[in-house]
This record gives sequence, C-alpha cells and structure tokens, in this order.
Amino acid sequence: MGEEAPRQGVAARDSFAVDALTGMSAARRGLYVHFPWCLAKCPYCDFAVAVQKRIPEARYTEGLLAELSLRLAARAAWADAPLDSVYLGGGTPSLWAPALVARFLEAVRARLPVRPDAEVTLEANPEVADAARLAGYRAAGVNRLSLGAQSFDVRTLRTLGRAHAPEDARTAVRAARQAGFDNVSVDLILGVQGQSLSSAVQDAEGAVALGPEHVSAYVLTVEREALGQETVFARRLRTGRLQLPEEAAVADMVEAVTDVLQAAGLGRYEVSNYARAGRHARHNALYWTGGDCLALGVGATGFFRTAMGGVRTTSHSSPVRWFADVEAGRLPEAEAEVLTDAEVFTERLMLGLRFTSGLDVEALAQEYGQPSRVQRLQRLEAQGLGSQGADGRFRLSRRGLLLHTDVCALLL
Amino acid sequence: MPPENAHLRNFCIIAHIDHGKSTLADRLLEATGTLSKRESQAQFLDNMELERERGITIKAQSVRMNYTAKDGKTYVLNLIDTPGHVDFAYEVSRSLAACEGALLVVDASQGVEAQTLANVYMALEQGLEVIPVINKIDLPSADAERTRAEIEDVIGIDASGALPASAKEGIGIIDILEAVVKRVPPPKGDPAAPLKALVFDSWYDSYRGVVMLVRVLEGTLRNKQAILLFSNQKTFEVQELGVFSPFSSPVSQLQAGEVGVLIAGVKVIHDAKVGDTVTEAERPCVTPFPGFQEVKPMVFSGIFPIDAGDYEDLRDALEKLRLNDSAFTYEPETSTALGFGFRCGYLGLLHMEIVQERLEREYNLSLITTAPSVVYKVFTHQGEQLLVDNPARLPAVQNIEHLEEPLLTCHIHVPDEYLGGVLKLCQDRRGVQKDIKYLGTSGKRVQVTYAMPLAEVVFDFFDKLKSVSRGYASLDYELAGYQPADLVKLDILINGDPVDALSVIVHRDRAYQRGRDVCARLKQVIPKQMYEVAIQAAIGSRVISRETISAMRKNVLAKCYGGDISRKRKLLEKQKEGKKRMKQVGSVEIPQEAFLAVLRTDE
Repeated sequence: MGEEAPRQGVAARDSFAVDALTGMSAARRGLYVHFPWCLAKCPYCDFAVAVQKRIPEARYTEGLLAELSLRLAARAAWADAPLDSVYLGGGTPSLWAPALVARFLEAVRARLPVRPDAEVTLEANPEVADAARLAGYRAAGVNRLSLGAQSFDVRTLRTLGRAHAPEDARTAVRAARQAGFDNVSVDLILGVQGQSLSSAVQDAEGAVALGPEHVSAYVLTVEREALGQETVFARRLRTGRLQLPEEAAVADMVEAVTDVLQAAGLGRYEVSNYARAGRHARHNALYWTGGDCLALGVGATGFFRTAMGGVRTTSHSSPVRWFADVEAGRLPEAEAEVLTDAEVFTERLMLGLRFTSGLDVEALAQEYGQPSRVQRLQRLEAQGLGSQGADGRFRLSRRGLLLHTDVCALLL
Repeated sequence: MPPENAHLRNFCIIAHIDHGKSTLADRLLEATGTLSKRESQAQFLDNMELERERGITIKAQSVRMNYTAKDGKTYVLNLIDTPGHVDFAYEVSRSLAACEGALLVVDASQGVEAQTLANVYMALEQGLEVIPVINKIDLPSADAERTRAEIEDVIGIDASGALPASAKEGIGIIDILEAVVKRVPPPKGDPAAPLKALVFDSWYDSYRGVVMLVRVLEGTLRNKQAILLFSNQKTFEVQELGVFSPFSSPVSQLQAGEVGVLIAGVKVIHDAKVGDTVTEAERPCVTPFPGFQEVKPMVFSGIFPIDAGDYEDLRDALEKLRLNDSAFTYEPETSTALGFGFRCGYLGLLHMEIVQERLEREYNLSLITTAPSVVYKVFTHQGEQLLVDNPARLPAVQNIEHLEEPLLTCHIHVPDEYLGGVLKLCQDRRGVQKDIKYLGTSGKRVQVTYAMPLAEVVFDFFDKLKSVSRGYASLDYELAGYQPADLVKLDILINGDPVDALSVIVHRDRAYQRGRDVCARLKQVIPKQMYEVAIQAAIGSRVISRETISAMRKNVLAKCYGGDISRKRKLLEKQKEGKKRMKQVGSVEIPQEAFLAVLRTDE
C-alpha cells in the first residue's frame, strides 16, 4: 500500500475560505441543528437521542427558532458574518417533515445572513428516505445528503441493530439523485462484531457502487470513556457479551477499505472521511479547523472563538428540559466550557492532524505562543508516522493516522 | 531498693501484628484517665498516618500513666511501646531493655506466632516479668483454655495467671493494670550513682532537634547537666526533660528507674543512636549498657525520580527522612536507563516500602524504585574483596573469583496442616533445613528452622509463605553470616539495549526460570508502543529468554465532531499525564511498576 498523494481538496471553483494551517477549504461559520428523535435507539449510539411514537416536530421547529432568537440575543456577533454551512444532524432528521424543515430554514435565512451557496446537509436513514420526502428537503434548500447506510451485509446490519435492509440504501441513493441531490455521502461502520476483512471490503465496494461524492467509514467506537455516554454496546463489552475484532484486524479493515475507496476516486482527506475532489464536507471541516458553530436543539454543542480562547456550549440532552427552557425564554444550556488558548491549541493540533493535507504544526505553535515541535516531528518522521511537506505541513502517514491519538499525545 | 521507685512500673506490650496491641494500649490510657475516649483518636500510640493505616508500629513511643490501685496507692506506670515487625528487631530489644515487665498479648483464636515468640524469648532473656494476656475473648472463635495451654506448651512459661481480656470491648483492663502493679517489679537503680541511661528511641523534631527517649538505669538526669554519649564520646547539655502523659510535659529531672524525654541540642540523629548509653560528662559511669549495635541496612534499592527535574526535591526529601531514621541510608546513583537517583539502604522489605510510601505521600514525588538487592561479597582474582549492593556494579564475570551472599536463620511457625507447603517453599528458596520440632503437646504447631539466603527472603518470600499457609505461618529471622554461592547477573534488554536498573543477581540454577518470568511479566506491564518491543533476558552475552510486544496498530478516535472535541481533548490530556508516570528508556516508555516486575513471579 503506497502513500496517497496529499489531496489539495480545494476545487478551482471553491469559494469557501481556505484554512491556512491545513490547506482545507472549510466553513468558517456554521449552524448545527440537532433533531434528537429516532424510531429506535441503536445500541452503539452515544448521541442525544429520544425514541417517541409521536414526534413533536412542529413544536420542536418553533422551539428551535425560539432558541435561535435567544442565542442571537445572547451573542449578537452571530449575525456579523454569513453562515457558510448548515448541518441538520441527529437522531434521525429525515423524520422531520420537509415542510417544517423548509419553514425552519426560511426563518433562519430571515434572521441570519446565509451565503447563497452554503452547504446545507441533512442526515438521513435509509428506511425513511423515500423520493417524495427527499424532494421536499431539496426544495427546502438542503443540497447535501448524508446517508446512514452503515453496511451492505445483513448480518452486520442486524448486529448493529439497524432497521433497514441493504437494498434500502440503494433505493435511497437513487431517490436522492432523482430529487436532484448532486452531493451525497454514505456512512459505513467498520470493526463490528463478526465482521471479517472481506465483508468490510464488500461494504466499501457496496458504497462505491452507489456512486456517492463522499464516504465516511467509521471504526465502531464502543469504550465508554471515548463516548459521550453509556451505550448498550459499552455495557456488553464490559460484561464480555460483545466481542470486537482484534485491533490489528480492524486496522487491516481500515487499510483495505481505504484502498477500495481511493481506487474508486474517493480520496481520503481525514481519518475516517473520503471524497471526490472538491467534495469534502465543508461543515465538518469547520470543526477540524476551529471555526465558529452556532448550535441549536436538544444536546447540541456549539463553539465560538474569543480573544482569550473559546467557549463551547452544550444544551440539555433531555427534550423535556430543553423544551422547558426554550419555551420559558431561557437558553437551554447544560454547560458552557471556557477554553483557554492552550486548550484551543491542543484541539487545533489534534483536529488538524486528522487531515491528510496535514497541519502546519510550527505555524500553529507560533500562533499560540507554544514552543517549537520540530524535534518531535522529526522523531515521528523517523518512525514513519508522518512527513514534513515543502508547504510546511506535517502529514500523518497511513500508519500515523491509525495511531493519531499517540501521535498527538507525543506532540502535546 | 530505694523507696522512690516503689511506685514505678515500666512495662511494654508484646504482640503479633493484629493481635490487638494498639487497642489494648488505648484502653489502658483510658482506664487510667490519661486519655479520654474522645481524645483517643483510635490507637493513640501509632501516631504516624502510615502506621495507623497498616496497623503496625514503626517508631516506639512511651506514655506515663497514673494509676490508683486497689491497694489504695497511686502508681506511675510507664508503657513503652515496641515496634511490631521483624525488620525492627534491634529496636525491640532496646525497648525491652527499658522495662521490667511485659504484657504478652496473644489472640485467643490465633495462638502464639513466631514473631511474638522471638520477642518473648528476648524479654525472658533480659529477665522481664512476662504477664500473658489472652485477648479477643469476645470473639466466637476464641478458645482461652487452648490458648493458655499453648502459651505454656510453646513458650514454656506459667500461664495459670494469664488474664482473659478483650481490648476492643474493654474487658479485663483493670485486671491487667492490677497485674502490672503486683507482678512487675519496681525498677532498681541508685539515684546517687553515676548517671547511666539507655537511649531506646530517638527521632528528629524540626523545632527541637533530636529527641531521645531514655530509661535512666542509674543516677539522675538533670536540666543543664553536661552529658556524654558513650558511642561517640560527644558531650551535650541537657536542655529539656519531659514525660508523655500522653502529651509531652516538662520535668526538672529523671532519676534511676524513670523513663522520659531527653533533649540536649543534638542536631543529627546519628549522634543519638538507639541503644547508646547517656552518662554524665563530669562523672561518667565505667561501662555502658551492653548490647549497643550500629544498625546497618540489609537491603538496597535504587530510587529515581520519574521526572528528572524532581531530583533536587528527592534529595531534600531523603535528607529529611534520614533525619528521622538512623537505619536508612542513601547515596547518589547514576543509571544509564533512569538517570540520576539514589541508592538507598533499608533494614528490610517493610522498611523499604515504608520509605517509598512516605516519599510519594508526604513529599508528593513520582518515583521509580528498582528491585531490592542484598549486599554481596565479591572476591576477585586479584585478591580484592568488594561489597556490592547494586547488580549494575558487579564486576565483569571474568574478574570474579567467587561470590558470597548473606544468609539468614529463619524460624517459621506453622500449623502442621500447612507444613508440606512451607517445606516445599523453603526448599525452592534454596533453604537448608536445620531443625523441625512440634511445639507443645497438641502436635498441631510446628517450628521449622532453615538457613536461607537473604536474597531469597527478600524476593517475595513472605507473601508466598502467607499464601501457602493461608496466612497462618509466621516468620522470624536473624542474620547468619555469608556463604559462597553460584550466582550470576541476569540482565534485561529492551530492544537490544541492556536496562541496568532491571538487572538482578540470581542463583545460576534459577536464572533461566527467573529470566522467563521477568520477560513474561514485563510483557504484561509494558503497554503496546507504536513499534514492536523486544524484551530479552541474558546472562552475559547469552540470551536465555525473549518476549515480543507487538506494535500497536490502531489508536484513533473515529469520529470527532462538535460534542466529541472537548471529551477527546481531555482524554488526550489524561494520556499525557499518564505518560509522565512512564520512564522513557531509549525509545520505549516503561511504567513504574515494570522496575519491580523483576521482584514478583506468577508461580
């Protein structure tokens, strides 16, 4: 397996700002909206999720807009610059009625400047992604669809507790194309119990066969301490009822899946993300380049830079508490974490190194008044974990990307 | 006997660990009104946090109690505490020398243990009146009669007058105090004779300098008196005399028979060694109190700061520790693997653990301790004789004519049902059986005596002894000189580089097994690294064992979006903190515990 050439990731027509430290074009300001409801909770999921027969979607839409007003009142600067991206995540936002999504996006545009070519993504589950619904989202202004296919193997889907069949993902992508989506992403999960190298490769081939612009291939994360909250899988792992493939086998899967995707023109631009040229997720790139993100909804996390560092806010993950706050005119904040410059430095370091385009570690260190890392970078290079490019960026090798945590710990 | 002493009683308590010595001491203090229940912060005499936690006594203490007996007279009872561990046997002997009597506390359900026996014999040799106390009679498993018979059988003293008690429940306390008054003889000694006082404990107090606990044997100690210490012939002036009752209170003099505190402007603890004799400079006594010994460390290990920047702090901490512990030694040591540190000497393994814990706890230092070593005698072909306490300093094989190692005589007490396991363990540890005898008439308890290399005892022997006997075996030992042995240096190589701090000296017959054990153990404790790590054990240039830690392949968080970022950052910061507790040896990060891995086995 050779090292892929560093991806520029920036198409000629790209009008998104380029982050100087990573060379990635990214949204500088985004809006994240969390839609917490699902038809069933997946056993591996650590997001703020609620399962309810009747989803109070109209009430929620109004609540989100009420929260938007509260956020703008609390920090007027959110209206200073136009939004580059909107991301509707979940939960299962494809359960949200298209008419309400339209109403919501319209109301956002009325209150905040949004650039006309903003990236507007919606996460969809294959089982609730029919043609009419997708057309409704497209008409509402959604221009990117992220489809939670996860696998094309019935056994893997069953182990993951997913409700859909492999065929559903194919149907959903066809429907998306018909609805006019020219930017579709497919999610895969690797390292599932019982999954073999060949079934992981088949999943990657299944994703390629759908012709997506973007693929996210996530290794299943189960350990409680790496997740936001307790999951069914974490409990099973602790009690020995869940056996995950060996670390080396999972690493082999990542490498093999990378080979399949890259051969199909989906270049790896981040630890778990692959895209055709110019089609990387601008909104996700915002997180990895320290951009400001206004967040709305149950359990949503937002971030903005300050002169001293940054502030990261997290809303209540219980819909009951969230509703109670926003409907009483209070910010539904569960936590506001004030970050120092040193902490922002740590984050930019660990996030920037996730890109295959690399990170200008020395420029970053200088920007934050940190000592030079040159010697440590040289040591990493000598160990084959990364290489220093002529552009000043340090790029992790494939092996380095898989050992990203250790590399970061060494550089901190 | 001078009438001044008729009301004085000096006694101590001999007990096995856990047999209730400290609790009994507290009850005596309460019963005499020396200490209220409220003040008796459970187990008053154990005044170091560490001692209380481990339930053992390291430093001896002494408390003066006033007791009005049933005969209507008021007596002054001095309770002299004794350390409760084999590492401190010499200190025990000095404490006993300050007494006329001893309470022998035996657990009514456990019976007599080896350590107790050793101390009782010591007390009997010194002519103390021994009063047996059968403790914990409130426990359902208590068997007072059997315990009484065992005391007679095993120790050979009359136990018909043994006192049943429960220190925990406060049963039998007054009977014990009455027995001390009636059976312990009042001290002898002429207050007018030339001064002779025994130092049976000393410690460093940062405000007052060295504090000595003394028993005046002859003559009188007075304020402002010029005194002479026998062992070093140094003179000092008495600045303060006092007694503990239980808090220190000054007195103007201490005369023959009395026990108290002596402060005389002594600056360093080595000038006031336990066992030394204090006399008057003007009118010295002719002979010192016999039995004085320079306490010498028997076990050595390296102590290194994990963070090289802590070296100065470590040195300061060791200096302070040594102020208070005359048996502890240290000198600078340099290791190629661990950098600058110190070679420290201890009385035994417990002493070593206590020193390490105090350094980490009281001085907040992160340390690496290397495996303990004994002192070997090295005879070279050039006819030199060297003492080596550090495997890294062992001369090259070709220069060694032969090696000798220190030998112990070990007495082990064990119920006969566990005898087989104990004999096998001793055999495995190169022990040579010297004696085996059944104690008493029950035929249930056995005392075996082995000659065993000290190095084998240091190497987790005590833990193993406890495990083969389910905790019932007890051990006592004394040094028994040196003997030649076929020893080799076992080196550990990590990725091809010898790590000097992991070297150990072992018997040739056991080197192979030991090498395998250590490699396997290191494989368990060294975490996976970003590259393959080879662990090898070697004798000279011959590799005798190898383990490989495969390289870590994957350690990355797959998803890192909005809400994950803070959590991930904190995980990274935690990992970075964890790294601080690792030592970088070459390119490999080795955790603290790896350096003690050479000490333990999974037999």
